[in-house]
Amino acid sequence: MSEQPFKKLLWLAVATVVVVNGVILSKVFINRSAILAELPLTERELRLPNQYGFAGENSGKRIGLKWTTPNPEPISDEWQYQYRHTNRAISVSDAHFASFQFQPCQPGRYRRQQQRAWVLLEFNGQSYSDYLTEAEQYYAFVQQANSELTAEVQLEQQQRAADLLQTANERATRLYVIDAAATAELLQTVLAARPTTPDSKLVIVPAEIQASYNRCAKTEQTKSNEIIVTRLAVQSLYVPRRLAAALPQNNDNIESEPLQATIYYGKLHEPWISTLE
Amino acid sequence: MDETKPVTTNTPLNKTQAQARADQVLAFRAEQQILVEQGVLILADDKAAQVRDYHDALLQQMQQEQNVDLNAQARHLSLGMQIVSFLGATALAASLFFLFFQYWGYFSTVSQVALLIAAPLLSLALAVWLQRVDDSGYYAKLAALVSFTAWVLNIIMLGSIFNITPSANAFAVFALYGFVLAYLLHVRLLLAAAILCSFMFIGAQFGSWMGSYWVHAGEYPEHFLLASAMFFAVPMAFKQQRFDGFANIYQTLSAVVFFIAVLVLANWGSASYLPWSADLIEGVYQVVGFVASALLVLFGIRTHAAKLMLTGNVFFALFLYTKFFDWWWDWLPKYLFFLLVGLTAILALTMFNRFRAIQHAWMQSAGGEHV
Repeated sequence: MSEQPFKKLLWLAVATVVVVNGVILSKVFINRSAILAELPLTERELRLPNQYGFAGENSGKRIGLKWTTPNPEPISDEWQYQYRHTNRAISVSDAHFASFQFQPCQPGRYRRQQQRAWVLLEFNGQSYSDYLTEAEQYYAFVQQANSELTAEVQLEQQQRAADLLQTANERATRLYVIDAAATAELLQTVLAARPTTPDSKLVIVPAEIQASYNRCAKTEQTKSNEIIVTRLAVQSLYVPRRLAAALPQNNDNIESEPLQATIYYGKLHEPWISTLE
Repeated sequence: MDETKPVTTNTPLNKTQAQARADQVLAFRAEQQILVEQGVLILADDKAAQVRDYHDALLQQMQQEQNVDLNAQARHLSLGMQIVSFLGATALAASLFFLFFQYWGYFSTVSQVALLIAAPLLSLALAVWLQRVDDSGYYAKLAALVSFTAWVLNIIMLGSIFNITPSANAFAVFALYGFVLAYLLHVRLLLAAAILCSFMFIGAQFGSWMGSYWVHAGEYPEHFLLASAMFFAVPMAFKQQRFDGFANIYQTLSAVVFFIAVLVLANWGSASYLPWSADLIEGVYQVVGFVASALLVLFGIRTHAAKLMLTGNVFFALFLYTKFFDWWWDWLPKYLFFLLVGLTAILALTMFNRFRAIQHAWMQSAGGEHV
């Protein structure tokens, strides 16, 4: 190649690296120039992500967020209550559901209908409070004598209710996705109207959602406005070297060891860890 | 005896063209030798020397400029070097990835960012320096592939360190750097990587416009049809004369992506955006597949592009055999099914033979050249 085009291409390659990195770092700076929300999370909301056997190859540390959605089903002894904290389905208002513009159902047509969306995250707010109240009420309910059950069965039921209450009080995540819409603006009004307490926090973050699995099923149980929040767009956070020493060395210990992290969400709705103890 | 004139060509040759010319010269010498031995061709000594000197100068020039192979052993070694170079590049890329992952946790954020930005730039500088000192170009190409890997690592790790929301735009910047490096250092592998990244980006954009999440763009093959047609047309719009094998990569890769998308839709119509029944969509794409693969064979013949012709043939056969499978696998005894498949292969062979004979007769009647 002659010298002139070669030089031009060489400078274009250098410019690509410099400009793209410049844009990324500028966005990081803009994001961190203002704090939208500050979440004081503990080991209840944090976990070490699975490294799929590559832990020895990766010296970097990340912590994942544990979150759930409000479960409209009442607590009962019938179902496996320990999975209650992994709920991902949520019913949204007509306006918010319409904002996703899911394609119409067509028989025999494959549609994953997964898309990017915005969700409203609530920490230690009304949703968690409702769950706690429900667990307390259920615990109180099973303490009452039930003549239809044998003493042994009733004792087991009471034990499970006590475990459930203890989990709700001490171990269950307090981070809830409480609403979703296609744009962040639609969630701003919900955020403004949501009752808060001094300890509760609300923040709008990007996520991936999809239509409910049974959206196109013609059954009476179909919840027309139900969606599934597949994952938060940023589901795990990088732990900088200065904070990494606070993390336990293996995944099994993170739930048993006390951990406190302050997570900031910035102007562009992207999070970072401020403190970790 | 006249002094041998300096060798000049009307247009600069790329490596493939130079190799073809060198092969032609070597074949001419071999044939000339046989003709001389059989007494058919007797050239005056000065004329024979003039031709020999001209060819010597031509071969020497092409060897210096394009590093052509002048015998079978050299050609085998070149092929070996290409394979080793590819394996080496892949291994070095993987090594760079794992090296960074192994130690990045021990660096502060500022050091990580500095390392990530410096890695593609330093490896680019190395590639440019190697190109100047090494005529074969293999080491420069290896360094270019390492630079591309460092760039991918740069973008992925910055996203990871700063918890940036993942976006399909990453594929656009991978593709941009890949294209620039490919043209800068004539690296075909990087061109293929850049084209594939472009497919990912364009597919993801289409997916987003159609209301799905970009990560799942691959589940809707129609996202890739327009992009593949576009990349197929690139060498027609922008001549790739100076870049050896680039036109071939654009067109073959685009054709493969196009036919895979059509093949999926021809068998799984429910993944289409078209508002028709799945059966109708599958039927339409089957016709598209047959017609397009046949057209590609014709296009390959007309443009003397053997790889395109082969691609067309392979996909025509795939479309045909998937139809056979649909129609007859359950219905026919297996021996009969495979007999039919074998018979169609023989039929195709007969057709190709006849086609070859017609082409041969046409070239003879036209008094044309034998290629």
